[in-house]
Formats: sequence, C-alpha cells, structure tokens
Amino acid sequence: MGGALYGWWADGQTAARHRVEMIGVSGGALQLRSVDNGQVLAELSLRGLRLSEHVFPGQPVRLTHRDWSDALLTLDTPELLGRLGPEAAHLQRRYRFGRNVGRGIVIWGGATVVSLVGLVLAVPVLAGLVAPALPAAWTSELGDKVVERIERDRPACEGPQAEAALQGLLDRLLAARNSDTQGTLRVLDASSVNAVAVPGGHMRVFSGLVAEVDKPQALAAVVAHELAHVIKRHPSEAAIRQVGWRIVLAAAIGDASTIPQIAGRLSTGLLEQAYSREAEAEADRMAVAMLNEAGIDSRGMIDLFESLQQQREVSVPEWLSSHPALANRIEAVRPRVKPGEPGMTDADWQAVQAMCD
Amino acid sequence: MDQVKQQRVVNDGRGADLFLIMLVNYLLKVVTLGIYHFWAKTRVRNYMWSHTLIDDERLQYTGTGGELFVGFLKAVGLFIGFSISFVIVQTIVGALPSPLGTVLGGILFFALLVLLMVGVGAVLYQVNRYMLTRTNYRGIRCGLVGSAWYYGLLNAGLMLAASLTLYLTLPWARMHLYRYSLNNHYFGSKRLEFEGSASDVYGYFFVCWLLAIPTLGLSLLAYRLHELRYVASRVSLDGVGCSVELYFWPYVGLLITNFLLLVFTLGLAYPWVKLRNVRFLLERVELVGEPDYPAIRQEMAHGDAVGEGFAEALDGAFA
Repeated sequence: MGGALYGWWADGQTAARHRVEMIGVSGGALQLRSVDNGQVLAELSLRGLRLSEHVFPGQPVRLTHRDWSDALLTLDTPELLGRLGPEAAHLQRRYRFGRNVGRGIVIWGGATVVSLVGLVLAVPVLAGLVAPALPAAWTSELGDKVVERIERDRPACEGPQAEAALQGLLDRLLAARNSDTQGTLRVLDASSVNAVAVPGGHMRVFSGLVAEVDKPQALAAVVAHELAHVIKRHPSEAAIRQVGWRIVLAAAIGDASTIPQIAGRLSTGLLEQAYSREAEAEADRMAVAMLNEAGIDSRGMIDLFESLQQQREVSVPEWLSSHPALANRIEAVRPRVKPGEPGMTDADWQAVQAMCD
Repeated sequence: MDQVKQQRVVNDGRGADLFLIMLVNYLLKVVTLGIYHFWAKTRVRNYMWSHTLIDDERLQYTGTGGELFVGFLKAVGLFIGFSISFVIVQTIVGALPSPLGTVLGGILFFALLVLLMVGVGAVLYQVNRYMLTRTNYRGIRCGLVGSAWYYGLLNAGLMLAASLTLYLTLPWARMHLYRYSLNNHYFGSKRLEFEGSASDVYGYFFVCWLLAIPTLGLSLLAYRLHELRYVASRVSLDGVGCSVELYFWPYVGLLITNFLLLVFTLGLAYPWVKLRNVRFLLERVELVGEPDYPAIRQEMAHGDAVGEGFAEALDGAFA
C-alpha cells in the first residue's frame, strides 16, 4: 500500500475516539493500530467495509463495517480510499458519485423533465389502449352510476311516439354502420343546451338543445355526434385519461402546498380539454359520415352549429374550451355534408319537440 | 480549576448538494409513483446529519428507507385492522336494544375520541424515538426510553386541562411534558437531565398571553422562543450544558426572508431554505463543557419505525 494511512476509529462500544494507523495485512484485511500505545484495536476485512454515507466534496470519508455494529472509521483524506487495494474497489465506485454537483444537476434535471413529459404524453396513449380492452361490464357499471346521477335532477321525458322516433333514428344510424354497439338514447328535461355521451353507450340530449334546433336533421346530427363518441369509446378514454393524469399529478407534486396543486389541476385541465377538442372533431367527422351512409341530410350539422352560435353570446377562446370553436367546426364539416332525408317524419319531430312539455 | 470548554455546533452542508439530492429524489418519486418517498427522506437525513458537526465530529444517520417503508406498511395495516374492528363493534352495539345500545355507543365514541387524542402524543414520541435511535455520534446511538402511551396520555390530559383554563396553565403543561420526555433522552449510557419550573417562565408567558389577541398570536411565538432558551439552559448531559440564543426579531426576519426566497424561486430554493433554518438555529447554540467520552457506553436499543409510519400515513396531521 505504501506510506502510512491514518484515521480515527470509534469502536461502537464507547464514545472514545482513537487515533489509528491502518496497516494492510494478508487476506484482504485492515489492521487498526493505536497511535498512542501501538495496541491493535481491530482487524477489519476490506470486503465488509461500507461508506457510512454518500460523500460530497469537502466531506471526510467515513466507513462502517458489517461485523462491527455502529463502529466508525474516519479517513484523514479521501485519497486513502484509493490505496486500500482491489478488495475495497466497491467503496471507490460509490465515492465517485456526487463529485461534480453541477453536472449532476444538469443530468438529473434533464432526466426529470424528460420523465415528466413522458408520463404526461403516455397517459392518453395508455387510455387509447386500455379503453377498448376494458370489460363491457365495468364501463357499463360506471356509466350506469353516472347516468343515475345525471337523471336524478333531470327526469327523462316520456311519450311513446317520440321514444319510438328516437329509437328509430338510432337504429337507422347503427344499421348503416353495421355496428353492434349497444346504446340508449333519451331526452332529459333540462334547460341547458347540451348533450352527453357516458361510458357504456348512454346518450342523453337535454330538452334545452331540442328546443334550440329547428329541424329534425339537426337533432339527427346531435345523435350522430354522440353516437360517434360512443362508438369511438371517447367517454371511457376520457375517464381513464383523467384518472391517469390525476395519478401523474399526485406523483409529480406529492405532498406540496396548495399553490402547486392548483397550478397542476389547471394544467391537466387544459391538457384534458386539448384531447377533448380532438375527440370532438373526430366525432364531428364520423357523425357526417354516418348521416351520409344512413341517407340522412347531413347539412343538419351546419344547422345545429349555427343554432348554437346564435345561442352563445359570449365566445370562449378555443384553447380554454373542451370543444373546438363553432366557426371552425362548421368549416370542417362543410365540404363533406350532403342533402338527404330529414331522419324522421314531421309528426315524429313534433312529438319529440313536445315530449318534455 | 480546568478551563471550561466551549463549542459550537456547525452545519457545513451546501445548498447545491442538497438540491441535487432532492432533484434525484423527486425524479425517483415520480417514476415510482411516490413509493421512493421513504428512501428519499432517508437520503436527505443522511446528508443533514453527516454535515452537522459537534466538537469536530460529524453526526451519522443510520436509518434506512426500507425500515421506514416497512414501518409505514405496518402502520397502515394496524390502522385498517383497527378501523374494521371498530366498525364491527359499532355494528354490534348499534343492534343492541335502545337504552343499552345508546349508552354503549356513547361510551364507544368517547373511547375513540380519547384514543385519538392520546394517539397524537404517542405517535410524536415514537417518531422522536426512531430518529434518536438512528442518530449516532462517535459510534454511539442516542435513545429515548419511557412509554409513548404514557406520554400521549400526559399530553392529552395536560393540553385538555390547559384549554379549559384558557391556556393560562400552558407553561405547567409544557414543562411537565419536557420533564418527562427530556429526562428520557439518552446518549449511549448517559441520560440527559432537565430540571425546570414553569414559575421561571410564567411572568414572560403571562405578558405574552395578554398580548396574544392584539398581536395576532405573534406574542405566543415570542413565548415559544423564550421557553426554548429557558429549557436549553436547564439541560445537561454528563456535565455539558447548553445555551440557545434564539430571539424573536431575527427569527421573524428568517421566516420572512425564507418565505420570499421560496416565492420568488417558485420553491426551487427549498434546499437552501432548509439549510438556512438549520444553520440559524445551530449558530445560536453553544455547548459548555466536555463529556468523559470513554465512559459513555453503547446502551440504547433501536426503536421501530411504526410511529413514523403512522405519522406518514396521517401526514397532514403531523407534518
């Protein structure tokens, strides 16, 4: 080993510290000899030595030993570590860590950003993979609960002719697609101008929206749009995305204070809406295709959007909204719409309009 | 007469090092969905302990993340087991006929309340015990003996009594708790000794108590610091005394500057703030005298991490 090695030894029995000279002996061991009286205080196998903690610049190297509970050997200089011989190479390897703090921060900081972005981007991909694989029983159970809650304050409107007309519309759209999708369609007594698709294939149109549209084709457009969501499993995907983002958010923010929590909620909210806008655009495209296939007048889409435009006085910036701007939606469907049948008879249309009165 | 040795407690940690540790911890927590938390905590403690020097010798933290994780799992298991048995007992009691069932139900509710109040102190005591038995100095473990449940009971009883007197008896309650806890602190075979009396701090407390409402509670912070100075001055270990010169206005200055540092760096300055807090305290600590080190033997057994597990499980209540 060449040259004397010195350090301090605390044997884990008493709080005394001994100044020791470390002498390498055969069999990969280190003998600690008291500087004061030459007595051999301990013989340590090199393999049993461990660093007591990660060593940062300017900090002495301290070693513990497997066979000496609580004992602590402090080396005078970290360079001594390199002179303990090959049996102590494991110590040298761990010591290197943390030497260059600035570089460490850059590397680990970069890895952190990459992982966070990766996790955020992985959520929608995973949701897209998981949603079709979910057992129908799970999604319908979840959907039944949601529908139950929606219908608690918004009773379903009744009327045999109207219900038959809606079912006929739904069947016609499904038949044109050759789709075996199961779905329920009802009109609920609620003033808001809205329609929803819930996991499990439940479509609910609020009477406020029925009152707003002035042609059966426009109602057929609403139904086709919601049906497209159901066929594409958008509601399940959105539910999974939201759970995923909540998990990522919890992992990223942990037990931090409320301000980062709120910031996190806002940013995942905006992300969710971006994906939701994409799903809406997809549903619009598919709705037009379905209406065309079923021979229903798909110009109803444009009627629908124009009615909504008149109804909405305040326009929300697109990036803050879960739906694309109506003007953009109109432009997107205009090249594809075709004339066709209204989707139901005038008598049926009147029955639907009257079913919530 | 020998010259009395005076020494300072020093922390030589660097913000950049701690920042790197916390950064790596953060990444590992994110990718393990938070499970790394226990190892992360251990790494920070390792760094803080090994950068704290008394008499030129660094402290050593010997706890492990695995230990904390197991403690947490045990605590969660106990908590679930307790909740289930409580619900079962409650259902049985609820099924009993009216007068008996109501009375037993009331007793059950009261018992749960008492258990919760006692549990808070007991958990804090166990957390303290875990930390001390994982703190080595010169190869010797620190320790905390005494019963956590007794401490919890003492804490619940004294604090309840204090609240009933509009906190006018608070100094007695706190001194009583200090006497029990501090006199059970050990460094190896040497016990910490604390002898203090509430009457020594009562005058200061009473003025602070009167000013509590006009100063929006700030006078109570002043009392806590006064109490800390007093308790430190009455503590000794193997002939080594202690003084803490921690005063109100510098402390408020520290709190304000730390707050500003965190706000303007969006929290990135946290490692530096943590070091500032520790240094602020340690710079004001002075130890007087020197123990007879060879006479201090290894004696304290390791305490378990279940208490800390409980504190983790009920994070909001204890953090």
